[in-house]
Order: sequence, then C-alpha cells, then structure tokens
Amino acid sequence: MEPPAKGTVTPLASLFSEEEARKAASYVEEKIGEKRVEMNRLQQFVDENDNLINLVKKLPDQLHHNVMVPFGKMAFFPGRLIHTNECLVLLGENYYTDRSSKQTVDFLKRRDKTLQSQIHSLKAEIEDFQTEASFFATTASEAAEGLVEIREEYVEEDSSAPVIQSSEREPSNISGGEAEEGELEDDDFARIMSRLNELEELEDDDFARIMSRLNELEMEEEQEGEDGGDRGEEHDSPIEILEESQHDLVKGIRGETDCGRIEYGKQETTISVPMKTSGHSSSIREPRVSEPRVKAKVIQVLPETHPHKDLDDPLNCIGPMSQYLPKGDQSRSATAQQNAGTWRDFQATAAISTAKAKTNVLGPQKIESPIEKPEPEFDSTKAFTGSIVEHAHIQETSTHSHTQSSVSQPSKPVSRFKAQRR
Amino acid sequence: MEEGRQKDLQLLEEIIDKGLKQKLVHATASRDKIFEEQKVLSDLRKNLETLEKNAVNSLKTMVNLGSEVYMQAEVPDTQHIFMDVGLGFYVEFTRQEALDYIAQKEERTKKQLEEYTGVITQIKGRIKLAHYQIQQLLNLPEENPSSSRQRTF
Repeated sequence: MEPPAKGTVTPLASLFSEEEARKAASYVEEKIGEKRVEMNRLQQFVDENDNLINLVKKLPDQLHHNVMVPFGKMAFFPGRLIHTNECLVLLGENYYTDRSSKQTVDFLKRRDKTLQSQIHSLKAEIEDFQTEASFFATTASEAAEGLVEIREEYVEEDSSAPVIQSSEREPSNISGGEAEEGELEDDDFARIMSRLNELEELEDDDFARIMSRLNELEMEEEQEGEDGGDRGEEHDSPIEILEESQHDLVKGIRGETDCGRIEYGKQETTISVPMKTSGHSSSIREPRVSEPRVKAKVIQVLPETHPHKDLDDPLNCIGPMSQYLPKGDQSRSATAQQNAGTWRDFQATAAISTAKAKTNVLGPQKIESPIEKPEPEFDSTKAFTGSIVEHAHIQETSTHSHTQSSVSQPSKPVSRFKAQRR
Repeated sequence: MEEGRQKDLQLLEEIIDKGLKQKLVHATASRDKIFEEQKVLSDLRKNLETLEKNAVNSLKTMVNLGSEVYMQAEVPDTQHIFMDVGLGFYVEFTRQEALDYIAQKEERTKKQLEEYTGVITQIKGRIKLAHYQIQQLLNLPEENPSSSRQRTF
C-alpha cells in the first residue's frame, strides 16, 4: 500500500558485536557477584544486630549472669556478668559511650535501619546490573542469530480525504498517473459536495421557480393533450433544466440542484415536472419537439454544458443530462442515449453519490447506471403514482430504480416528440 | 628442533613455577597461623604469670556481647581456667596447671613452626632451581660453548 519507503537495513551484529556483548554481559555478571557478596555481608550484620537486640533486652532480667569470660583467644574464665543494665557501645572512631540497655536497644535499632537502607540500595544496584546483563545477553544472542534492524521513514497519509480517497491515493502514490486522478476525484468530490450544498440551499428558491414553471408547462400540456404527458414532463423537466442550465451558471447550479433534487431527495420537482409538463414539453421545449432536435440539443447542450463545466459543472450537467438521458433514451438511439448517458452518467455520478466520485473517474460505465437512475426519475414522474413511488424509491436508492424506469420510458418520449413535432 | 625443545622445556618450567609458587603460598599461610597461635599462647602465659605474681584472685573485665557492645563482667575466682586444647575441647585447669600446659603447647608450636619453615624453604629452593634451568635453556642457543660452560658453573 505505502510507497516503498526509504529505509536502512543494518544487521544487529554490526551495531553490537556478539563478542563484545558477551564480554559486557560477563563483566556485568561479575559486578553482580560482587554486589551479592556485599549484600550477604550486610545481611550477616543485620542478623547479628537482631540477635544482639534480643540479648540486650534479656540481660537486665537478672542482676548477674554466670558466663564464661574469655581470656584471650584460647582461655576462658568462669565469671559473672554484672551491671547488666549498663553497656559500653562503640560509636565509631574509637568513641565509646555508656548506655543503659534500653538506650542500647534503640541505638541498635537505628543501626539496623542504616543497614537496611544500605541493603536496599544494593538490591537496586543488583537489579540494574541484572537488567543490563540480560540486555547484553539477548543482544549477543540476537546478533549471533543475524537479527537485522530495519529503519524506514514514516510517510504520513493524507487523512483529510475520506477513506475512498485515501485508498485511491495509496495506489496513486505508487503510480503517479493514478495519483492525479485520485486527486482530481478528491477535488471533484469536494467541489461537488460543496456545490450540492449550495444547490440544496438554492433548491428552495429553485424549487419554487421550477414548480411554477412546471405548472405552466402542465397547463400547456393539458392543452396539447396528455399523450406526451409523461414524456413532456420528462422533456419539460429536462428542457427546463436544460434551458436554465444554458442560461445561467446558476441554472447550472439549479440543474445540479435539480439533479440533486431529482436524484437525491427533490425528485419531487421531477415528479411534478413531468406531471405538470406533460404538455409543456411540446410547447416549451423546442428541442424536445423533435427528438433529433432534442437530441441535438441534448447533445449540443451536453457539449456546451460540458465546456462550461468545470468539475463543478458536472452537477449542472448531470441535472440536464439526467434529463437528457431520459430524452436520449426516449429518443431512441442507443448512441444518443449512450452519449447522453455518458454525460449524464458522468454528471449523475458526480452529483448523485459522493461515493460515486470514484465512478466519475472510472468512467462511463458507471455513468450509465447513474444515468439510468435519473432517467427513471423522470419516467417515474410521468407515471404519477409510479413516479411518486419511484421517486421515493429513487430518493432512497438513487440510481437503481431509475435505470429500470428509464428503460421503459424511452418509448414514450419518442412518440411524444413525434406528436409534438406535429 | 633444539629451539622447539627449548620452548617446550620452558613451558614446562613455567608450569612448575606456578605449581611451586602456589605451594609456597599455602605453606606460608599455614606457618603464619602457627605464628599467631604461638603469640596467643605467649600472651596468655604472660597474663597468667602476672596474675600469679600479683596474687590476683578476681578481676573485672569488659565482655564483648557482639558488634562492639561491651558489658561489665566480674571474675570472682581466677583459679580455674578453661583452655582450648584443640578439636573443640576445653579443659579446666588450675592456674598453675594452665601455665604448665601453656609451656608444653608452646614447645609443640615451635616444632610445628620449624617443620613449616623447612617445607617453605624447600619449595623456595625448587623455584630457584626452575628459574635457573630456564635461564640455562634460554642462554644456550645464544651462548658460545665457552660461555655456557661458564654459566653452568
């Protein structure tokens, strides 16, 4: 996943030669032995001290104790311990003091504390030495085994983009071309999302406008007849959107919003549009009147819109395109559809799904599916009940339903156009 | 060949030297112990003789309870004394008997000392001999026949 980071491979043996490590380990162990001897000595002192404390405590119990009094190293005199409460204590440096037995006991206890602290420090030292020795030993063994130390530079991944992007980036890092695409996708996606947000904000206004427009179209359609109602709606909506998109960038936004609406949640407009604009299509949309015209327009528009489009525009394009797509489908030629489809797909994918940001890059294939999705939207709008349902359905699952509906619709628009042409 | 032999011999002599020196060390240590014993005995004897002279029957002393903590002790009667006769036995003597005993012991100690001294001397001699042989071997290849002869002397 990550690019081959620069790294260094160093055999552990080079850093710590085995022999040296073993020597160090043995040296440290010697030290440990010395410390242990010292600690044993101290422990002996402690034990002796404890015995002495007990003895000194017991001695005052009697006035005299019969003892063997040593006379040099080799002779004893039988004698008695007298003044059992008095002790001569060596303070150090040839300083002696007479102490009572209780005072002597206290003195000995203080001495015991000193000894204990010394023992503690020695223990700590021994532990340190032990850890050191173990470290040396393990290092020596590792060096003998040929352990290798690997160092790599840490390459931070861009965590700002979503997982998809990051996953895209990873391969892109590996291959530069892909990186560009991934970046583009990320950028596109970001832009699209921002655009969508804008569109949603504008949607209300646009929605009102569209609704009014649709109403007008409906009126016209009703006048003309309801044959092409669905188609008209389809046509109308796309036409409207197309016109709008043609005129304004804002329209484009609208288109996006429309697309967004249509595709996302505001397919209400589409629903309404097709419903209303059954007759609209014919009257309002000249391009629609003739399929070829429409197509041409569609196609023309598409290219026009395309140039307009930046990555942001795709949304705009998607809107009209999605509509165009149904038209295209309606109009019949697979090619037209495909063209429109491709356009739409491209836009639709961009607009419809955030997840489809990839799809944009991926290409037409995916576009088609989304294209179909918007198409079904329109188609669904034509059939009132069906449209409503589908819209809801579409809203939930943006493209899938559309695809199905879109397929069925193409036929209708065709006839509608013909009728309108007349 | 000769050089090789010489080297081997040299090594042998060095080994001998080490062995001999160790023996020397041991012997010297044991002799020092005997010296100490002798000293203790002489001190004891002197003390007893002092006690005898002054007709001291009782004495006060300080007894080491351990870790340099002393307690007063009194010896009411110094007539009886317990002596270490070796192997962990202590025999009760009267003062006079003790003095006799000490005298005997001192003689034995002297004999032991003489023995050890002899052993040590022997070891030292061997070491010197070994050194001399090494020297000879080293000098031979370098020497002229005439000088070697001189060295042997």
